[in-house]
Amino acid sequence: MALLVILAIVAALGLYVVFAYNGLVDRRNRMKNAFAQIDVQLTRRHDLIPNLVESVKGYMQHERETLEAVISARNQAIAGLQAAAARPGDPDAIRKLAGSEAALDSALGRLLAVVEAYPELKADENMLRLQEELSSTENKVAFARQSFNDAVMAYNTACQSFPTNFIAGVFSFQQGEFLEIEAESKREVPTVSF
Amino acid sequence: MDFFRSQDLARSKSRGLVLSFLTATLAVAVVGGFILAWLLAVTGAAPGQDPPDRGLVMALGALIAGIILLASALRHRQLAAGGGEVARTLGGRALTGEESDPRYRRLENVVEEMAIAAGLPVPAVYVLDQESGINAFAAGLGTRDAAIAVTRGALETLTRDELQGVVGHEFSHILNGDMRLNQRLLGYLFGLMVVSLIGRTILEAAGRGRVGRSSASARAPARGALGLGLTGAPALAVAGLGLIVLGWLGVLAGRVLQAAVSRQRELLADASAVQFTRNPAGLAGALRKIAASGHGARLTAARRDEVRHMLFADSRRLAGLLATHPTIERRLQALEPGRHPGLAVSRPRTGLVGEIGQPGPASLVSASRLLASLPPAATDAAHGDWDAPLLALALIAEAKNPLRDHQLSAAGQTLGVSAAESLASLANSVRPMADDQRLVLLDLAAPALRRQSLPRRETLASLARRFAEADGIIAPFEAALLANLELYLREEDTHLTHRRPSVAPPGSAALGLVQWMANAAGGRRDAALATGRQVLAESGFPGMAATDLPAGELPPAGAAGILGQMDYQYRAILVEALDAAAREDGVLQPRESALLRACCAALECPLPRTLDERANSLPVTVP
Repeated sequence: MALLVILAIVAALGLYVVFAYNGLVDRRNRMKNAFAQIDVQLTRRHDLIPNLVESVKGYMQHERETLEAVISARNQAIAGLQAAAARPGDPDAIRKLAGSEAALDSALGRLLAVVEAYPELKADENMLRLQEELSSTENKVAFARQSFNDAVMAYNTACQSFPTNFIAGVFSFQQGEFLEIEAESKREVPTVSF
Repeated sequence: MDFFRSQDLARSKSRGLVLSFLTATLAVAVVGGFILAWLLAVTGAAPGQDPPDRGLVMALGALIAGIILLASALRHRQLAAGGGEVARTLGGRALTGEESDPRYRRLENVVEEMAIAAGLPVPAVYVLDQESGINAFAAGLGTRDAAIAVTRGALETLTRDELQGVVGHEFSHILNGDMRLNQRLLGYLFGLMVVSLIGRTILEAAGRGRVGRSSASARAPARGALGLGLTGAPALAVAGLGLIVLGWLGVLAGRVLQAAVSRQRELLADASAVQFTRNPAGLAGALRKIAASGHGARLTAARRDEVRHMLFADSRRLAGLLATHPTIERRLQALEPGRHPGLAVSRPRTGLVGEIGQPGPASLVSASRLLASLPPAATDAAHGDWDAPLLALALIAEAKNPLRDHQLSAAGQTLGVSAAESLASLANSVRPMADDQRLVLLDLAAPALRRQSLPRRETLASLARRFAEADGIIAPFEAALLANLELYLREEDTHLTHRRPSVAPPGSAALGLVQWMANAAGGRRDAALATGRQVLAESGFPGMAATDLPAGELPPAGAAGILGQMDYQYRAILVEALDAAAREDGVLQPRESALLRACCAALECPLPRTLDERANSLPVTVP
């Protein structure tokens, strides 16, 4: 009888471990899937920058440095995104991505501030379209970031709660990192209105 | 929602709709017959009997039913011309790709980007210039003849994101199979509402002060039509009252039918649009602007009531059972942050088949990349009425070999010398392009190709076939391009007249397609063919046991034409088989993937683009 009880307890414990483990894996996968959406939108943002530089450089002969800063920030952001996309569960990679995206934000902000000084460029139809697309992509990044952070929160909570935290510890589930992109100076994307 | 199932469901629903329409017609005919007979008796125009004469009631009922059926049959014939017909009914103007107003160009860009992303042929774009309300609709019988119409008010008030949300909603109707249902309903509604339309027209004519003359001339047809020997004032009174009552009955029956095409479809389309763009803010912004603006979603065109069920937002504010859309508040609620509509939608199928009809934001990014990679000269050519056919010919000619002199002279003889010159220069710009880019160019040219006159389309189709068959062998990709081109150039009313919903899927046509796919596999052709064939047989594709390979090469458009009649559940199997044949050696070559895409397009199974390369594929330009 006692043996049976012990067996039952062991079996129940075993079942618990299996379910808890699977639950953690599920949450981690959701977090990774949510990152895929950020990946898409950031990729779009990076795609837009060469076009932006292309349409701006005809007007700006004297702003070579600003343009080069944007391009190098873009290249770093691409590298950061690639690293993060390979390992979306790695807090280091996410932090680096956040840093490089913030740098890109600032570089873009400076460029758009310079654009303000060129009325012809500001009214250029191509330029208007690009700015509109940039701000639209910005919205989508924000939306994707929100659902990624929600997924990270759900996963981290599971990792920290008792008694799942033991399972997370034993199988070394690493907690996720929130993606927070904070530019040095909060950039305002000029809104286009008709 | 599974694309294939929802398409088949839409077809069976249209059959159900026929039944409801016939019931509604019968109801209107019976009630209308009684009322007319009673009116005749009361006004003393016909011999008065207390229970109206049964023969008279039946004759009048049959007359009414006849008018309704005739009118809706005529309207169906008109609508077979394609989705654009509906837009023209409402005063729409087709955009030609050469607009100067940036807002019109923005609409075209948004539509093109979404179509390429979803793997759909680019629909014709219409603007309703007279409408200052914010509204839009998609019309058409299939993906190939679809049209999207947007009001001027929407273009003037919405931002790009909001416009994208609205267009995404309309694309969802295309992908969810709602369009076909809506289009059929249009024909039925016209029949049911035709009496009130006639009544309105007569009233308007009378209101224009021609009463004196028209009453004299109206009397004669009234007598002739009713054949009851009525004279003078009673006849006019009966005609007037009868028209009012009948018109009202028909409109009521139409409203009930419209509302029966479920309001749920609108919520589904909203959710799919968000799944597509991952930007609920855009759609929500558009809905809020409708709620806030004075004009709302109102339309002013005379025949606005016919299209109520297919609009982006209801043009009238009817509540309850007769509402065609959920309220704006309800739709906004479903879009609220935290709910993330559509994000939880699971894919019932896996693999390539699961992707069909399910575009996502990655498809949009991939599409804008592809569009940006095209030389502007080629994109302009795809938009122009003059250049688009030449571009299509150049694409066919260049699919295998550079354009040859004898092909140029053939084109020169048929189309003229200047056309041959443009053809040569277009061929030069096509030459360095990848298969994927060529396929997109053909998709971009679709609206301009459909605008060609019928004789010109026939000339083009025969020239294209001559180009492709010039050396006696049709290469796989060439065949796929040709199939798509021929399907664009074909008259579209085959959808209505020749459609047999549950036709047995022809096994040899399916095998013919798999054979093209296998031909692209080069050395492993036989293995690829066997794999594809095995999938067809194992998944129960009908007629496979007895079917041998088609003896010769099947004409490509012919095979796609036969298979285009097939139920969607079988198309799913075929797409699976094509995919298996292409991946037989474990890798999907760019050529195979382009061919797969072309085959899916020919089968009207929109395959969304995927973002498979990393961001560094675009060159960085240093100033």
